[in-house]
Amino acid sequence: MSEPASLLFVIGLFAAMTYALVRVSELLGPLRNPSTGDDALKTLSDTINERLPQTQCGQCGYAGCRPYAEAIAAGEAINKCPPGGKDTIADLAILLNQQAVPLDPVHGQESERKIAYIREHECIGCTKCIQACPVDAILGASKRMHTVIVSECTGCDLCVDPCPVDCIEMRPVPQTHQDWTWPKPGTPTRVIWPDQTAKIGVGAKQ
Amino acid sequence: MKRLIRLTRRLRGQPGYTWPINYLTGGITPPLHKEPALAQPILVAPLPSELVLPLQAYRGDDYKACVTVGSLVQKGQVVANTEGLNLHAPTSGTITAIVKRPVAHPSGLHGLSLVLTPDGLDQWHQAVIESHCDDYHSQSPDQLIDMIRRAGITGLGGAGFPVGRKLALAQTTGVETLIINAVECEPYIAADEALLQERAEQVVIGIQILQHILKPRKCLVAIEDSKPIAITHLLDALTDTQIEPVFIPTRYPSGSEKQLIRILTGKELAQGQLPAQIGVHCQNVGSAYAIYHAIILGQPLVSRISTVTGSATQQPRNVELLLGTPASEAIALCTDKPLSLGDSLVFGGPLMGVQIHDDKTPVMQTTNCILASKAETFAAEEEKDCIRCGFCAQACPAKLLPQQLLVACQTEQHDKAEALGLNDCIQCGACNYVCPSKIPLVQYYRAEKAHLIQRQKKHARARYWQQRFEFHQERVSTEKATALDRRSRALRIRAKAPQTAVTTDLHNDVIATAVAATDTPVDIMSAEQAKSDIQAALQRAREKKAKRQSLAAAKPQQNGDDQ
Repeated sequence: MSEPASLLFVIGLFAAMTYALVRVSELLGPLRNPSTGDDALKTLSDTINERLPQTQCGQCGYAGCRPYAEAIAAGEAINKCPPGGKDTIADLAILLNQQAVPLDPVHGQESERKIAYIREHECIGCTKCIQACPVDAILGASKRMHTVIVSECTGCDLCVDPCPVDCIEMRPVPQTHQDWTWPKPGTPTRVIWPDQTAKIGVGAKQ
Repeated sequence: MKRLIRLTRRLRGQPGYTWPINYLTGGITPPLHKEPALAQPILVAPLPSELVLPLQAYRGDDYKACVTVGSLVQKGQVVANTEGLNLHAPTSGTITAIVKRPVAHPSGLHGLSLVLTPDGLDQWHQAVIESHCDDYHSQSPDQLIDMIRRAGITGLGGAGFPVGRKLALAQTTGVETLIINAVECEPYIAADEALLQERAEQVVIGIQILQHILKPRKCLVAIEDSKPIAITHLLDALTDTQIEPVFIPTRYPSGSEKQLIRILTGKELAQGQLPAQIGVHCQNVGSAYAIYHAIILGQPLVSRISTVTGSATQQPRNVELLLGTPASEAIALCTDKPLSLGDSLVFGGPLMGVQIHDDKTPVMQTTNCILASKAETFAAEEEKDCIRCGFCAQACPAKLLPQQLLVACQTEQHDKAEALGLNDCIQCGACNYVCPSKIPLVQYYRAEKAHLIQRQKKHARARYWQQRFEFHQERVSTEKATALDRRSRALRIRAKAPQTAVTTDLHNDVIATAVAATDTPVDIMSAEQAKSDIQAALQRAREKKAKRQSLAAAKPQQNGDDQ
């Protein structure tokens, strides 16, 4: 058996197999996580970031939601997000297989959703709030009155401090028929359940 | 035994029993309390003192008023619309206000409404008088759908989905089976039954119009076998038509759309699937009657038949009410005594109805029953522990596991609740009814459902904000880059101007300094200037505030002096 011929054969075989693999992977599309249907190449911090409220308020001590998500992925505590509150903590606890802990009061209290409101007659048009807004929700120009676009405001509170004339306030979002939720029935029922301790509790393993 | 009787009737080919049915899984047979309301014919209500028309349309779309305060309107005139769905004046009169009034919503929140004071003439609008169509066969389905849409007909059964939109959707997907729902399985409600007892012919014409529009292979009218008078009238009206009556066993909740489809066709809807996707189209008999009015007489939907009943009424009866009639005036037709504090008022039946907080709440398209009960009738019983008897699982018509769901809801395991099929729950209340421990299971489910919906909205909002934030970051960085670019270009031009003999080295130097300059603050003076400006503004604001406070402090003192 001549040496060059077998070498060529092996190289050719490899090339053909590589080509076939590439074509097959193209046909199958990007890798998916079978349980969630998400992109399998998505990192943990991406998944965490999706569960954060994205107000970009920085109350957690990080410059926005993504940095905090990255920090959580690296082992930071999950209870530093006041806008997300109990629900976000429960969500993250399930995702990260951790115990759900109460919100860290150092970073603020969970409150109803609020949005910024500019008292327009007091505004001097300094554009400082526009620069502070992380989602471009404030409309205005230099020496012209500014106003908040209600549908865009995340309620992050970041525009309140920079205002030199203190004309921005946070107002609670009024309740509408669409936002209203059914209240839970009065007293929670105790369930007679054989292994009660294992089953009850937010974020318990299922 | 009952099934055996059914089988023999089917074998004998008795009308109403020839269609093979599937029995409802689960369900309950509560006492019906329908006879008192059916003892008397339908009462056409006199004009109320005022009509209130809420501007909320189906699922959050709001009607936009096209009249103003003081407008004179005539019966059937369009007063508000949204996406081709119209709201009509139920009678002639004056729009006296557009204000927030109580609406039929469990929250008790008020909603923007038109207030119409009738002039007593009940004069039809000219357009309505002219628009009748005697021969619907000559019209194309699209024309008829458009007429239905303009007549503002929404489903009169329960959910209130706009009929025109539903028909247009069904037309695109094609309809194999058209189901007319006369199954009114909830206790107390007898509006559809009364309609069939008295106006079956009109209903059947409405159904034939639907057949003409959708051209289904099969058209079925489903009604419970416990309504003999309505059945007789229906059978009379159905002679020589291509519509098949189907009598189904009386069991709650057979009248729910999903359940009825399964009973009649054996097909089950997957989660989130619409009946149109499996070639089925459901309409309520009341809607068929409204379609008859819209096409043959040209009259828009301005009234509906509603059962006014309950222990707080002396003579329960079915009343044809104008939309917007306050509940208190409807109740006054059936009793001398007004509701007193502590009485319960429900729109809809006792199992699925909406608790109403104000007796001035107006009747809507979906109000099939006004249930006014004395305080003691539905005394709340104390919720006890779950004893895991499993009755709820047997009663559940959606084949869910109510116990497991309850635990998931109580412990706020939202994903688990979803995985257990919470969204398939039709909130029929059968589990509540059978629960020996009186656990309000449905209240837990709907609270959890509402939470899931809000959670979804929150996530959608978060995704949007993330997008906005990323856009903001990109914008800021490109702006920085362009500013830098512009500066360096400007400097380059300036450097070129006196030049001609400038060496390339010098040229590069200039660019380097320009680039370096952009890293340092553009103008150190201006920053300081800004700071002092802020200080001045702050000072001004402080002075203003102090002035305001001193003024505010001075005012009450003055008032005190005056007194």
